[in-house]
Amino acid sequence: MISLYIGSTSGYSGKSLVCLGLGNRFAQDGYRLSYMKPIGKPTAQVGETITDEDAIFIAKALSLSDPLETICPIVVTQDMIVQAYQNKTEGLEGRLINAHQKLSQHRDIMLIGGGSDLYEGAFLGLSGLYIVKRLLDAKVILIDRFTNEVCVDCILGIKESLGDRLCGVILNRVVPERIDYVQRRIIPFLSTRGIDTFGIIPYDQLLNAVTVKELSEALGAEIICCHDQVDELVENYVIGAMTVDRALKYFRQKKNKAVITGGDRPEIQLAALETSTKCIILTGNLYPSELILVQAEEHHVPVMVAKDDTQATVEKVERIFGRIRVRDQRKVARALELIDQCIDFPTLYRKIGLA
Amino acid sequence: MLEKFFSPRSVAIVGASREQGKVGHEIVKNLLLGGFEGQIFPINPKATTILGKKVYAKITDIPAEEVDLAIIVIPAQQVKDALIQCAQKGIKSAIVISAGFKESGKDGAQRERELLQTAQEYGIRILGPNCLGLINTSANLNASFSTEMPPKGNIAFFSQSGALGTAILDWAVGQKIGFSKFISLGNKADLAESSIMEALCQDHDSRVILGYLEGIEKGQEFLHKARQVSKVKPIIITKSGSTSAGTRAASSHTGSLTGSDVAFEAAFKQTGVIRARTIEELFNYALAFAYQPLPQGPNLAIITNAGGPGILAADAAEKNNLNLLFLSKETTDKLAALLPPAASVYNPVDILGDAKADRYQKTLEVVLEDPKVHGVLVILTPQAMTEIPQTAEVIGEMSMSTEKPILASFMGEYAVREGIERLAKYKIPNYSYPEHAIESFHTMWKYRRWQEQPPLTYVSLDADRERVRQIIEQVRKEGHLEIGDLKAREILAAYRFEVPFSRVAEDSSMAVALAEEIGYPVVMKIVSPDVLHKSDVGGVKVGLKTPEEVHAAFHEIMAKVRKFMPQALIQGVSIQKMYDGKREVILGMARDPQFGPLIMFGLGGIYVEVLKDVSFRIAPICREEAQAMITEIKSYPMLKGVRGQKPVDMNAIVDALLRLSQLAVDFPEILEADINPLIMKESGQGAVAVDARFTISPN
Repeated sequence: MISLYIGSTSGYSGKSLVCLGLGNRFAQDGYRLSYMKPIGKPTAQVGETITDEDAIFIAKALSLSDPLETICPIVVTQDMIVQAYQNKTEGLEGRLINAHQKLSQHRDIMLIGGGSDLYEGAFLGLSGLYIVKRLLDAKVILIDRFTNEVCVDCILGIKESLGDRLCGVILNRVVPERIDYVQRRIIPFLSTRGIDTFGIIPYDQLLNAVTVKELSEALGAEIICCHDQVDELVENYVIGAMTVDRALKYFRQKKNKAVITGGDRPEIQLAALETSTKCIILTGNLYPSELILVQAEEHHVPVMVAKDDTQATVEKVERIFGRIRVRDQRKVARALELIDQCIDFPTLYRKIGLA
Repeated sequence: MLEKFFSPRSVAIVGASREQGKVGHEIVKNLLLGGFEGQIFPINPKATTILGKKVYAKITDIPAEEVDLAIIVIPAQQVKDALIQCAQKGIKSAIVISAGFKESGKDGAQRERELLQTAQEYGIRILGPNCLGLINTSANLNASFSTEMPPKGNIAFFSQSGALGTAILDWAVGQKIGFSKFISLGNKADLAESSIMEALCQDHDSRVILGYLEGIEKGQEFLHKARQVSKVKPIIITKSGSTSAGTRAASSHTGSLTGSDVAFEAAFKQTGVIRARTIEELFNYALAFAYQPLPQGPNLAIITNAGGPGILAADAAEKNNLNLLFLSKETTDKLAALLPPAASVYNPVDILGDAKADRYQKTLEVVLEDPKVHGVLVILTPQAMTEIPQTAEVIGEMSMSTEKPILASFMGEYAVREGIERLAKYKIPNYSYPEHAIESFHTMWKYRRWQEQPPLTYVSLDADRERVRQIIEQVRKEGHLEIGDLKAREILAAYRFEVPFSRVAEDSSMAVALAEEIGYPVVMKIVSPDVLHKSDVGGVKVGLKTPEEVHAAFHEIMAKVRKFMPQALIQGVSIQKMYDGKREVILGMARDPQFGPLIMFGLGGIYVEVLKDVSFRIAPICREEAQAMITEIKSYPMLKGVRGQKPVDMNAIVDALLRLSQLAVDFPEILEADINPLIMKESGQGAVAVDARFTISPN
């Protein structure tokens, strides 16, 4: 059985997306699949078990029915943190190896979901590097949100630590304007250092979207019209605090956006409706006029009223957009499609030894 | 057109009421009091007679074979059914007074949509809903709930605000100002300003069309119709919501984005519509157009019995670009012979404080005889010797025998009242202050020139539209809405703009090699998908004349960008030919929600940004309009050349404006465009579009 660790150079770089995509493809190609997340975050509770939300989601999406305690054997709870600082954690390694063994039985390949980077978990004595090299004897595919040379540094640093365990990299969220440069300069360079690039996944608006409902929940804002449109995906946001002519100019530059503006700015609200807008977020707990709601209904654009002022609302929205997870069915479908399109599977299979 | 609205032979009032004070009662009363001579059919299932008229339970019960007009004043929920009944009776015109439609919120908006759908299904035209009705004085038709019927006259007035309409009608009655028609537009579900203007154009009783608007329904239709109508008779419109605060108020009042004020200004300019800034101005102009003939030229002679008002008038004349120095020698000689020595025989002609009616008369006679005089303003201040009513009579008599417009400014209130009333009898507009009279005269002259202007021709220019289509498609595929740099210049090149040659150098030696190839001086700009505002981070160097300078600039740019944006992915620098940018202009386009592509022109740098010295027109524009855009800006002399400078290539600007207009018309998906700067060369040498940005719609 092959253990394949999916690691990354930074958080929110697309590990879940890649796990899903690769797992799906492996299963399609007839391989018996397994998945584990050695170190989880206490982000979900199932019955009595505190476990990792991502792990549940991926296992479910890949139709794996192993027990959650096995899939995610170690969850870094507050108790565990306190124990770790007192050097009182015991038996973690064993738990991990045990789980790995159980999950390995009668399987061809196991995907192992890593942490934000390969050092995560070091304070427990369980860094990604350690797990890969000493505990699970895994091969590694590295996901990187490619920006510039700093990323190349990271990749090369990991290569130094892992040597041949590092099978290759996947560059994720690369904006279209950079693709040519990455292909021309970065990939050939990495290749000279013995690092294969299995694919470039372009930045995708849909994958970086949140639903109107998610926004309203995160903001504690009340949706006051178009309740049937709350599953629409919002790709970005703009703040409407300028004159209406200016607003129109800015609003036109962003599509499928949320417009954040004051409840007392009807002209800005109408300008938002003129352009590609998925929802209007009114701040300061100010409700719009009935006539605006009529227009919003006509354009099928939900309006929500947030209690916070504009500054606080913007800060919250900013936070939501920085940490997007693949959850929505539409996003999963899109992720699978992207992985299928962008990843050079023959090379990948050869490198991890599946072929 | 709309004949059955204005001059119906029979009217059904759906929702007529016995109860005094109810709108359904007032309408019937107003119809009767107004002296309407056609048949009146009140409809009410519960009444037998209202104000002596037999009442019918249903529209279909009306015995007459044909009913021309229905006035509907029942609750909003029932209006649709009433309309269906109208259809059964063959009624094709309906005034819906009832409120409770779009103005009232969500349910109302739905009702209004259904109402319009029903009307269209049965071929019924609707005025309103939520309107005051209409008045046609020549048919003695008061189909409104405004009690006062204004005197007969030749001013037609349509208003988006019903309440403002009643206030103005009341004022008109007090001032004895005559109206031909009054139309309250209400929510404009069906009939809006464009159809009304078209109908009033054909109306022989209306000589001038006035309008009060908060927004326009279909911008392009308005442009088309207004352009035609204004050639036949003057249209004067007050459009409110011209400031940010006003726009906000209009937005929450009408629930629609009214479009930018500059777009309205451009629309009015291009269609010959006269814009009145205030309601007062609206009627100042209206009276001049309604009462007096248009001047044949701009020469206004001013006759006054007081120095001060004469000076005020002279100031106002100059501000309105009217020249006062034109009286012929013959005229001034005659005036000198006629007037006391202390009088001024030059324009403004000051006939002194002791002038009685006869002196006014003789002076006016001489001045009107001068062929160079195209119009006269008579100023009167009430002084000890002044014969006010007699002077008004004299002016009135003179006006009967001249083709030239005469305006008056009898200043004051109490003492001049009788004089003003006599002037009104002779249809001489009076203005409390001479400035208003001057502005009105100037407006008449401007309108006259508009009327005489030959029809404009709009030509289609050749361009590589396919290339632009490809670029837009590609950008959309990449998920972007903005187009800048290379692709933006490619779009311009496809529309035959001259754009600078440029190429990307990845390192400093390639930069030098490219600069050598292109020829000095060159411009260098950072190429990075992360740097949008290149000069803000020190990513632009201009005027590089040697290989050494290019080499140094390359490293300087790299250092600056690395410092300000350490995360940026740097792909290199672009090397571009440098043009002498002493005189730069900016061209822009923004699609207005109501009128469509609005083309902007201004001089580069502070002229646009700080001084807002810009001109606008709505595309498509023709050569004459493009030329007007250039000459209109205050900094135009800079383009003609100051301090020995040669003029820039004006034709190149005109061409650029026409090409941008063409691009905007060809590609509705281009929402915004900025060509900044367009570097001007001397006359005959063209212009280079150095940089541009576009914003496109997502689909």
